[in-house]
Amino acid sequence: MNMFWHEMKANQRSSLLWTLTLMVLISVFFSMFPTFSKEVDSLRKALEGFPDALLRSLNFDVNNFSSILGFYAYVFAYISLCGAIQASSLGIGILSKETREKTADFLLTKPVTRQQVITAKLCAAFSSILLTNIGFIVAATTMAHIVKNNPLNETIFFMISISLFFIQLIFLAVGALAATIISKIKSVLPYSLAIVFLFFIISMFASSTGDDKLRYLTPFQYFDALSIIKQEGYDLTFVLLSIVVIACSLTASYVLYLKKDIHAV
Amino acid sequence: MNIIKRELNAHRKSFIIWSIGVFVLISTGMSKYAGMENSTQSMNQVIESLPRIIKVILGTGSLNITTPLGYYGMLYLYLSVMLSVHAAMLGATIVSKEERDKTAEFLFSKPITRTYVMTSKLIASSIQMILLNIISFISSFLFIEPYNNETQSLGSEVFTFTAGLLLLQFIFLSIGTSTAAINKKSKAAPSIAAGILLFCFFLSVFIDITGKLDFFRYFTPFKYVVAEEILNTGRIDTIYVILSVVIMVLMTSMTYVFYQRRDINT
Repeated sequence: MNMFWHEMKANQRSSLLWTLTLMVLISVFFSMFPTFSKEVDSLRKALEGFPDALLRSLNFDVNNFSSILGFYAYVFAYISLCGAIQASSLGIGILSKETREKTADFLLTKPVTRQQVITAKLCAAFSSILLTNIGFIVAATTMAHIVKNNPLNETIFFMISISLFFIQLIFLAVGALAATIISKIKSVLPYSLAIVFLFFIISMFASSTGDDKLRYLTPFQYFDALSIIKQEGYDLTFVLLSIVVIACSLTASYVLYLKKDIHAV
Repeated sequence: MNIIKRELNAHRKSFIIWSIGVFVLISTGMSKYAGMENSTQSMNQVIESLPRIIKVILGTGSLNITTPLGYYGMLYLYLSVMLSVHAAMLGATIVSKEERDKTAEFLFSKPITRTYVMTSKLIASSIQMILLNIISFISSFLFIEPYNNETQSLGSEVFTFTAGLLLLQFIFLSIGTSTAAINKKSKAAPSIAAGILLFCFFLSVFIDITGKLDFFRYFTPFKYVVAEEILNTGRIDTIYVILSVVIMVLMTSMTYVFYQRRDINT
C-alpha cells in the first residue's frame, strides 16, 4: 500500500494537470457546437442535388453530423489523442523511473517482491486514469447539456465518453510494455509522443480514407465514435482485440519486469 | 567538432526510427491515393460543394484530393505534426540532457565556453533536422511523381512544401532549446515543449472548426504553412515566413542568453 500511495502522490500534479486539460479542451470544443450546428443545416440543402449512391461511396452520412453526438464523435479524436499521451507517459514513466532516478536499489532492497512493486505501480496508474476519466465525463456531460439543441441520447453519449478510459487503458498497457522492453529510458515524453502520434496519424488517415484494414492497426479506431452511434454499441471484434492487446502487454510486462536486469547506481 | 560528432552519435538510433516513420507515413499515405486516382470528377464536385465545416471534418479542407498534390496536401498536416514533434523533443532533450544524465560536470570542466557547447548542440540538431527534411522531400517526390499526369515535374511544388516543413522544424527546435535553457528544472523541459506543441496544434484545430479565429493564426506555427495556400499561390505567405524567422531568432538568442547564465545542477 505504501508504494501505491507514494506513486499516487508522485503523479498527483501531472494527473491533475491532465484532468484539467481534458476538461478545458472538451468545454472549448462544445462551446463551438452552436456555430457548427448552424453550418450543418446548410449541408442538408447542399446535398439534396446529389444521387444517393455517390454519397454512399463517399462513406458519408449527413445524420452523423446533425446532432451533438456527431460533433462529439468528431472532436473525440482529439480528446483521445490527449488521453493517450497521458496514459502512455504514465505507463512508460511509472515503470522506468526507478532506473532513471537511480532509486532502483533503494526500492528493490526493501522486503517486497518485484511482483508487488509492479502491481502497486500499475494500480496507481490505473487509479490516476480512472480519476481523470471521472473528471472528464463530468465536464463533458455538463457542457453537452448546456449546448445541446435536441434531446441527448444519454446512453450513447456515455458510451462514447467512457471509451476514452478504454483507449487510455490500452495505451497504459502498451506504455508499460515499452518501459520494460527498452533498457534505459532517459526521457519519457519523446517516446510516448512518438508512439501516440504515430497511432494518431494512422487513425486520422484511416478515417479520412475510410480504410477498414488500417483500423486494426491503431487503438484510436477500436472505439470509433461514429460506429458507436450507428450501431448503438461497441464493435465486438475491436472490444475483444483491445482485451487481447491489454492482456498480452500486461502479461509480457510482468514477465519481463520480474526478470529484468536492473542496474544499480 | 567533437561535441557535434558525439551528439550525432547519441541521437543516431532515434534519428533512424524517425526517418523510417516519415518514409512509412508518406509511402502508405500516397499509396492510398492509387485507389482514389480513378475516382471520377463527380466525387470532387460533391466534396467541393460541401459546406466548409464538413470538409474540415473529412480532413480535406478545400483541397482537391483527386489530384496527387491535393491528396498530398491532406497528408501534409500530419507530416508537419510529426516533424514538429521530432524537432521540439530534439531541442528540449539535447540541451537538458547533460543535467539529466549528470554529465554536465564532465562537459563543463573541459576548456570550452558554454556558447561553444550550445552552438555545437544547435549545429548537431540542425543537421539531423535537415537530413530528416531531405528524407521527407525525397520520399514525397518519389511517391507523388508516379501519379503525375502532366508533362511538367512536380518537383518545385514538393520543394515548397518541404521548405515549409523546415520552417516549422526550426521554430519548434528553437522553442525546445529555449524551454530547456530557461526552465530551472531541466527535467521539465520536454514536458513544457510538448505542452506548447499541443497547444499550437489544438489552436489550429479550433481555427479550422470555427473558421472565424483568423487573428489567432499568428499564434500557431501549424497555420503559418498551410497546404491549401501553397497549392493556390505556389508559395508560403511572406508575413508568415518573416514571423517564423523572427520567432526562430528570438528563441535561439534566448537560448544562448539564458544558457549562459544558467545555474547548472550537478
